[in-house]
Amino acid sequence: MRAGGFVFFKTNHMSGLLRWLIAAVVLSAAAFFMGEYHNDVYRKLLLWVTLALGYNFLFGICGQVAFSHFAFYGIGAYSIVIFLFQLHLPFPIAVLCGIALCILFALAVAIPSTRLEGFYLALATLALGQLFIVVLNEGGSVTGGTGGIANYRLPELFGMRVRGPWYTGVIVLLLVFTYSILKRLDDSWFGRACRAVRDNPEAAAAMGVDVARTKVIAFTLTSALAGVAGMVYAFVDNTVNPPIFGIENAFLLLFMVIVGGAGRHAGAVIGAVLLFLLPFWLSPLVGHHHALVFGVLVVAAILFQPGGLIGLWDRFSRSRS
Amino acid sequence: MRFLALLIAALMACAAQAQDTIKIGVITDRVGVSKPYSEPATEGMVFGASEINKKGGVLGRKIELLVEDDQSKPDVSAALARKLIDQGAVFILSVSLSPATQQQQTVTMEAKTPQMTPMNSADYLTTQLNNPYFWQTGPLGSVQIATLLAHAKSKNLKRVALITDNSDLGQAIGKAFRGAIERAGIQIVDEEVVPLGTTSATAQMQKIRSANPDALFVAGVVTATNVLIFKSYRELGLKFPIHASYNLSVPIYMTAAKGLIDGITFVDAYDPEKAEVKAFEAAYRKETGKEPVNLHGYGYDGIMMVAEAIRKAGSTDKEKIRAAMQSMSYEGVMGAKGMKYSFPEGKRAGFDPNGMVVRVYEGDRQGRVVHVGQK
Amino acid sequence: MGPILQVEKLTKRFGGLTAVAELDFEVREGEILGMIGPNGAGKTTTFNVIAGTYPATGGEVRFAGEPILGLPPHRIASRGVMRTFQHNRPFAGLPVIDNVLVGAHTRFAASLWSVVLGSARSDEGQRRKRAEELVQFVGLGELRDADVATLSFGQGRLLEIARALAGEPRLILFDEPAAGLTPAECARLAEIIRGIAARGIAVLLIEHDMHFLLPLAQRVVVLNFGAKIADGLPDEVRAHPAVMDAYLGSHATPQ
Ligand SMILES: Nc1ncnc2c1ncn2[C@@H]1O[C@H](COP(=O)(O)OP(=O)(O)OP(=O)(O)O)[C@@H](O)[C@H]1O
Ligand SMILES: [Mg+2]
Repeated sequence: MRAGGFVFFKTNHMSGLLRWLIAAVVLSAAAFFMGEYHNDVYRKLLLWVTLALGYNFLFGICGQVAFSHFAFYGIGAYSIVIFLFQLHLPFPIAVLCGIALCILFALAVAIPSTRLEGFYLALATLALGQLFIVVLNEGGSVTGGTGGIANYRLPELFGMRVRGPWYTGVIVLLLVFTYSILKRLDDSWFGRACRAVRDNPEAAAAMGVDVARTKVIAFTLTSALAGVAGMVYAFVDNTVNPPIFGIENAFLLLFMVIVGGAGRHAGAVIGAVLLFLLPFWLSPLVGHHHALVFGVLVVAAILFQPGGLIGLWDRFSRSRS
Repeated sequence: MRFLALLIAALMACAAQAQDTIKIGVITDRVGVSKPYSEPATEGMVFGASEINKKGGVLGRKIELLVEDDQSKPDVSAALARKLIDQGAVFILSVSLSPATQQQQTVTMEAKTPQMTPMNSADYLTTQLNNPYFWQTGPLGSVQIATLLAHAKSKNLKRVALITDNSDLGQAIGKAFRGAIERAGIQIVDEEVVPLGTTSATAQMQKIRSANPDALFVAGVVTATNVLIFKSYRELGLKFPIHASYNLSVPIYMTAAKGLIDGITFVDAYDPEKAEVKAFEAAYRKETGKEPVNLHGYGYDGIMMVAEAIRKAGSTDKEKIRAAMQSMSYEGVMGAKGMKYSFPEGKRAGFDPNGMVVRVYEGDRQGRVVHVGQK
Repeated sequence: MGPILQVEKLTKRFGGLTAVAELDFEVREGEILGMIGPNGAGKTTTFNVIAGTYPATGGEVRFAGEPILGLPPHRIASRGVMRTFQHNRPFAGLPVIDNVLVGAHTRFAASLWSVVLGSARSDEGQRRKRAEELVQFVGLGELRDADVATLSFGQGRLLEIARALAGEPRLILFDEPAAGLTPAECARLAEIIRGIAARGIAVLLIEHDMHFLLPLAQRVVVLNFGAKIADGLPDEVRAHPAVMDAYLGSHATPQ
């Protein structure tokens, strides 16, 4: 076991499923003790954490510098809304179509670009991210243009409409689902192959790792997970619009993973929590200077603490023991 | 026992005092893309609130502004709307990005809390959602273009050129300009794009010169590229007039394009000769020691209208405020002389379509009005 | 025992430079075949072509009777050809044991789907145990969970070997494993290599150090300017005049 994982998840006595269940219940229950505002911030925070975990797998564990994560988040969000309320597909079909769309786009980007050097993936995904925003803005009545789409809400499932703290529970399920998949992958031969590809692709190939295939799978899988998260996001405020899915947030996600500690799940969680909440905490104290604090933090992490905050924690706990 | 009673009385007095203010939420942007617009508008609101409070407030209570910074992020913006409502705001004023205002609406609609944007110009804000608690008093994008074209028509233009930048908004406005010009039966003889980050627009301006247009329409929204356009225009000694988008009404050009902008006409919602504007500017100068610009006027009008609605409602009951707002007719700082904001027949976009003006730069200053309305 | 690797007229050109020229040799199961030659003779290039890292210009390579030229490196590895690198190439972000487990990559039975679904009974534990044994075998037992950055150069060489062994190779390619090791480490390394061959694994061993190689190898191939100039038993090769000339001549100082 790697040091610094969630202590909570390490309890060995419980069976796997029970562990996840308890985590989900605890995280969801918290929502019922919060006001509307804190619940909303909590929901959006959980979504960022979900995205950061997925992006950490792609960037931190597999070493792929991609800027398309938010585009896939957006493809998921827009597609579920369009499939449900413009094409009037049944809910499960709409979800499956949304996932299929993300996988299709991910393969279309990953297959040509992962065969080239990492730099080209960065360029290709940057282009995709930009193109996606253009398509959203120019998409006429389908995407709603710059204003996006609003005026819809989550359809009733089994005669119930999930809302408020119950919807927070849905997001918790998404997070636990995403994390359990990523954790299983990371703890398997696949996760090790990803890290090997990141550290030394030539040696990885000599050890029998299909480098291109590993990259394509990691990219497609994390992109599809981002798409699923996007579908959940679409019903948080019941509106989707272009600024959410732009390059700016893609960079913020990258910074979260770097500041928290790339390659570590706990790092991604810490980075996402810290950088998402930072403006909320600091804004009342220092006003617009929170942007400055943010910049300093990111630069300091890159220059002085490449292992991120989780690396700092490791050093601290090692020196104590 | 008596001590306890005193204590409770004191506490209740405190509570009453705290409750005594009328809380109005403001969602602005202090660090993001719309900061240059949001900040002056917010200053205008703060000034307006202090003026109201100096005159005794509203319904005998002082106004308290709760200002939140959404960084122009729509999801954060919606969360902040919830925060303001949780904190007891009876009205929310939105001066951040249009999509942020839109995402706040999903909250205010559900919480039945009145919300208004005194500045956003996106046409979809009042059409996409049927939110009876939302109003928009910023001039719509479509009105801006119609006003600019009405002015162009009065000049009898036949052949024009169009230039913009490659930003999202620049492209969108360029597209809207193109459509409107063509619909007006005016021929576009050349269309150019100045990419962001270039150091010269001379090549584009030379092409435009060889097309020999009657006038040039500037749809770009990025200050740096617009300055390049004006620079080449001067260097090449071009003579055809320039009609610019609403973007040229942002005061930054008075310094950033110093010596380059004399004679350029632009759309605005601000007439410096209007009596209300003169009074507002004088009072603002006196109170803050700073020079106000048109953007301050939006915020000022916004808070004034909200105060008026509460006064008319006679209570801070959100439903009564909503009704008062919907039946409002208000003459403020913004708009052509005599223009009134109003929301007849259930409409919620309140800026009079004939309330915009075309102004001209005189030297480096934003000067007089040369055209009013769409006729 | 029959040949597991057959190399015929193998040629590799880099532009105008012929790094490997019409090379013929074969390695039998359980055999240690030494390969020597001066700097730039084409030894590492030969490895890279066999392992699929570089495409060959001409010739044929057969592994277990089947042609492997043109296959990508990971396919060749999965058939049972593993290698070490002349310069240590560890996976810097993984602890020692996980580096070795990457070597076992092609031996995992669970599909990606069963990993994602958490359904199949994982062979992770069994593989890990096996990797631990290998770490013990090369003598890195104490460093099982260590960060590879903390390893000495010599320990890094041993890690390369354990990692290659984890792939359960039928042929293992060693590129100068003794370079930079102390005499004591060299002696241990020789033991390890003998142990590997004793398991029936074919060993192709590049080495500069004749004192290390000659007692270890059953047969030796000598390269110069990409071409084979001699082969045979260690003693025959040592006495070969062309070898004395091309190779030992420049390295005549007794080590
Ligand atoms: N990728 C390459 N591109 C061009 N030339 C190369 C490449 N790799 C090797 N060479 C050249 O091929 C020749 C053989 O190199 P190689 O590395 O195979 O020699 P070697 O026998 O392993 O030498 P050493 O004992 O120094 O490791 C050298 O002249 C080298 O410069
Ligand atoms: Mg070599």
